[in-house]
Amino acid sequence: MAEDTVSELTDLAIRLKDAFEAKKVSALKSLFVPQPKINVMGRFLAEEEFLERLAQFFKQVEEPILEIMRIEETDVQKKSAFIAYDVEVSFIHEQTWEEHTINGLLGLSVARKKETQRGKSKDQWLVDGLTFSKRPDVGRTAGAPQPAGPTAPTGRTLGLFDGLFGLWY
Amino acid sequence: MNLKARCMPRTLREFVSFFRSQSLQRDELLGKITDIYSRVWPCKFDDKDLQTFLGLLYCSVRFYRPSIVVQTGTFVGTSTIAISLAMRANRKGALFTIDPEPREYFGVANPVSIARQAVSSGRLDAHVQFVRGYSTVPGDRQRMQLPHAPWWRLTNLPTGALWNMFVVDGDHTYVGCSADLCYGGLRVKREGRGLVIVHDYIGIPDVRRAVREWRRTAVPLQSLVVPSPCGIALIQV
Repeated sequence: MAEDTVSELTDLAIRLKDAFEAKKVSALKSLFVPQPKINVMGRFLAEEEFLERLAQFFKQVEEPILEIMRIEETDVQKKSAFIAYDVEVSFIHEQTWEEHTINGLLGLSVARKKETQRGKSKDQWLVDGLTFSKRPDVGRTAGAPQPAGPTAPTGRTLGLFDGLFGLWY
Repeated sequence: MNLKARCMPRTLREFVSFFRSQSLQRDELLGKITDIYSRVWPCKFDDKDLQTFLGLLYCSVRFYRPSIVVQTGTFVGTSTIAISLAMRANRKGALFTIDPEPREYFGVANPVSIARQAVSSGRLDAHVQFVRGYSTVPGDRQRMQLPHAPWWRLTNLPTGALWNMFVVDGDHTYVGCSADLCYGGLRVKREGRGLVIVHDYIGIPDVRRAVREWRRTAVPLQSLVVPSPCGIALIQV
């Protein structure tokens, strides 16, 4: 994989992270091709529905963090690439101050597209497919006491997000 | 033994409601702190993050009414003032605030001497004891030039009573924060129910990692995070 391609794909991941953490739906949208394929927790979502759910989600939470822990897999071709990141998504519920942490696998299928900005055209990587799936918490064994930490089950909060941002659960 | 004081039976959920109901008192607090600092060191308190932190410390002391609060990281003393003003309003409480007292920190010369002046100016000396030294061992070399000062002050404080509250805002490295939590946080837990407050939980990833790992081992009763850019972890143990 060429150095500049690695650098470009890293830049794309950082822009995705920054847009998520800044709660900027429009900035997120700008990273995607029109009508990308999106699958979250096994559910296919149209772009509009995905962005609408994200917007609703951002209204309910504070300080969302998308931590990219490591790259799980890469498959880079000349005009396309697939990268899977091991990520940790955390956020604080604005009303209850409860912190939620979700470990997951974020797969991005990206394509090199010609973008025109201010009359100048240049190639850049855009996301044409996104998958997210939750992973079981590492290090938590069956029967072990649940820590009252980030993922403490309270019933109320899990239910809260069911209808709102059910794609995480 | 005063069992009621020892147990701090109030929950964090109740505290969240209390904090929300105290917006007027928090505004008054900022007015009092601004007034105190206008006499000793010119500074502004318009930073929302700082406002939230000071308001939270004040409200937590008012709500839980701790006998002993231990704090790591004094800096210029704004949080020390917030805690001690709440203690004065409670008519009880002693704060031990630990800092190695560097000559300069974040561009401020002799910050802890400013804190001492502010405490005197606010006539809060009865509630505050400054402890010069490192809470555990020196480690935060990136944030300051480490001065010569005693080590392990956290483990030999002359508190002489139960710790009800522990505020962690000193060494912001992973190791430093972990050590503070291991020695200070566990002391609060060992001696009865209490509250551990950690500043910069969101803003500094090393702090977040230290808190998360400590939470796994300490198994607190409850844990919440105040949503602000710096983030304040509230851990009831």
